[in-house]
Amino acid sequence: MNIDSFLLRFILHSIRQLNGARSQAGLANILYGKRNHQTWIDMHHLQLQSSYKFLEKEEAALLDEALLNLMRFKLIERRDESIFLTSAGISYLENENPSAADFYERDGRVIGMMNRFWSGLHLLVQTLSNLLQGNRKFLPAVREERIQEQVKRWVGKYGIVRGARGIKEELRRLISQFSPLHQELLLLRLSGHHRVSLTFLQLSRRLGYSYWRTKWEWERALSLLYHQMLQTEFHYLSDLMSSDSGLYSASSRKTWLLLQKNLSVAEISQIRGLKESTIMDHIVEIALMEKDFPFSSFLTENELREVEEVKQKTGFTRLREFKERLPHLSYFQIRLALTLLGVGVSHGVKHIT
Amino acid sequence: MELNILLNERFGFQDFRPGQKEIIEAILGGKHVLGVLATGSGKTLCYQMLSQLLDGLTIVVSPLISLMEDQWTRMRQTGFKDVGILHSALAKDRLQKEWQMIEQKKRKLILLSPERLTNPAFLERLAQHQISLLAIDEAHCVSQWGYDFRPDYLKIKDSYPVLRNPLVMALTGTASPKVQSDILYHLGIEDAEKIILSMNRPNIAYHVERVKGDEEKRSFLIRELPRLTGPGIIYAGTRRETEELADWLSDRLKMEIPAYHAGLPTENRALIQTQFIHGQTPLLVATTAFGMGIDKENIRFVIHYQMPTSIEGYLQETGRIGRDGKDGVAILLYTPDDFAITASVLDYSIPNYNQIKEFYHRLILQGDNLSIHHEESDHLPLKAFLYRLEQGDWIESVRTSENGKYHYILKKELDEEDISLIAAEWEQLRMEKRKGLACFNLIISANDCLRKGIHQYFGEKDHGFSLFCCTHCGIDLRMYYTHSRTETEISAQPRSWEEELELLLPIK
Repeated sequence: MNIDSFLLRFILHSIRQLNGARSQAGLANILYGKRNHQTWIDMHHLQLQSSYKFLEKEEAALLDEALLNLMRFKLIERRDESIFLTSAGISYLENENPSAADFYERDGRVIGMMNRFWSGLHLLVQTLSNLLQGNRKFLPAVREERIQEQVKRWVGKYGIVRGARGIKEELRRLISQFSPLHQELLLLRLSGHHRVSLTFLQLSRRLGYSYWRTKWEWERALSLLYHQMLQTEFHYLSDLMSSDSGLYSASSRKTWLLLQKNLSVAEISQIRGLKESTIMDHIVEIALMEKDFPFSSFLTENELREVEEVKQKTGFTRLREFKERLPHLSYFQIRLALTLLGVGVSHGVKHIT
Repeated sequence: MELNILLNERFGFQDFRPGQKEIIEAILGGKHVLGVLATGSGKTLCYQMLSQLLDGLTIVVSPLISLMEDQWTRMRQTGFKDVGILHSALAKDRLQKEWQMIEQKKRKLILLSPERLTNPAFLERLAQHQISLLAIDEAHCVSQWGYDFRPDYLKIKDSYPVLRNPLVMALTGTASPKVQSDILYHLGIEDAEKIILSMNRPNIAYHVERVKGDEEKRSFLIRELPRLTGPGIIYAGTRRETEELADWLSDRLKMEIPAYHAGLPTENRALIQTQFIHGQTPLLVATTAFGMGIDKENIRFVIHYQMPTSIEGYLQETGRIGRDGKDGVAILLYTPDDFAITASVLDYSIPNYNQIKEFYHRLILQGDNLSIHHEESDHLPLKAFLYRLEQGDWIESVRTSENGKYHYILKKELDEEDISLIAAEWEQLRMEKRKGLACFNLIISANDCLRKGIHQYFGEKDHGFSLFCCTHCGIDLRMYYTHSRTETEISAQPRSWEEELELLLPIK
């Protein structure tokens, strides 16, 4: 895949958000959506949700090349291990379309979940389309067995004719509200009895946008479809949603179930046969997502306030810096506190922003 | 049951293709088999039918996960629900389900990636069931002399004792006599019955287009692609060249020609493959990553933009033409400079002295943390190096974890002499491969029948008679022209979204 000006601006946007807090490897982890705890936490602390998982792991060489380009154009500069925008970089980011503000709309945390939903819808439409034509054998556009099972159950539940009518009507209602670009993108990403979905490169050629702009617009279209579907009653479509919330790993979910039974870290570690540090990682991940997370068993309100004060006074972003100021707190407690502050817990009053 | 009746009732074919029945009967007679059957001549049927005839499980070792997944889907679509699949990229729940099916005796045939057989825990579990046959697909991967060497294949024979020595059936489409004896040796089946069929495909014509350089290659494509009957594949040398050429051709010919290579995101690869099989895109520019296991019978031409690194590879890639038995043409765009370029690509794939030193330093530095993914074929030189160290007892047998990674522990250090020795071995391999390439170059540039040259290389004396044989014997490319497109291309005229929706789900 080639680098285009859209991708360069997207990376500039991510570098601005990062503000020198992490090295190039940290930036790469965010952009490639690495599923480890540090990346997940970084994403929340540094407000990098919009950049998370925009690139595929197969596109690993792209970032190096893009950064070289940005350096050459003097849009970014390196100071020690960190990367910063130059003033030319800031103005390039601000004065082009789509506006820098549009980048913030994206939420990389739900990309995985939305893609799973889309895989189900894609395969369902292909299946119904073929069955309506009497084709019982076709090459499935989605190979994941879990999705195939889900679609089989769906067709079993609603039947071909009723199901096809229902899904068509709901798609029509939803898509009619979108822009012509998003309408076309959504339809051409579906497969049917007469054709297979187009790839992003093929779509970009057809629509006359660059590759990365097309991919970004596609994610916007999918996000619109997904969120509108959640807001109103779309019976047939919402039945394709996976029961798996996808917000955190299956392993963390098991830890969360045990936490709700008031077990300690040591007890959970013993039951699950995992290291205590792993359980702590889970706890930090859960704290990001669960509204009713009982943080007081790990951290007093005073300790939380201490971390908040240091953060406000110094603007620190590295754990080591906090630890030097607050040696009586463990790294786990600092990470947890920063996580809670990041999602909007302050002085014991919880408000999700 | 009589084999022909089974063939008819269960598989829907009237007759066996040459070699199939002989292979099946040899296995039923209790012999190991080496089967060399030309690409597209129905190797799958051999193990699929045997799985129905033998009491225990048939294990099929296959080199690529994508290939395995395709085979699995295809077999299930044709009504064989007793086919299972076990590879390192399988999701945990699917893996559990597969084991459950095996334990409930609902599986007769299991597709497996070779590295599974190196995992002791996996082998123990598998060995609790009766294994009647171990079929090794693309068996040429075991040979360093072959064009697609995979070190994991070398370890397959270590699994025989645990699996209580099942019958072994090694299958390949292309193997020179040297590769054949390598297969027999490395798979430990020297006493196997050999069923070697001619690799000649009379319905494929071989054309070499001599050009002066890249510009003329491109002019040829612009001139001929609109005329040639598709579908067709253009093989380019590198990933980058594939993308550039596809872009350039799409612009110049005003049609959508996708690029395909192993570096594309999985979803893209799957879509392009499906579009091609469906005939939605009649042309593709690809690296050699495209093709193995592609079930498309009506490919009418293959164009090599660069000279392939071996005759075996060339035969494998052109063998995708005309599986339906109808005529097709293989075109090689050739400049005398190509030999040097291809030779340097070849050199790159074999570790040299400096690389060996570098790998060794990595090993020393990282200790037992050195791990690589199985699917990283880019690391082939590194994998070959690690295998060699293991063989020489320099590193400890691999601990294979469930996530598809290998870990290596250094047992004793290598000295300068050891490194020189390994380098010399590979130097010999490089020379052999260079010799093969030079031979190919000679066949292409000589003023003699191409088909004869190729088949002599494989030790075949009689290459049969083809009406449309090769450039030297006389073919006219116009034979392969078309005036109408039979494949359905996606409408170039944009439709409204409502019309698209109506087409997808035509129901009131």
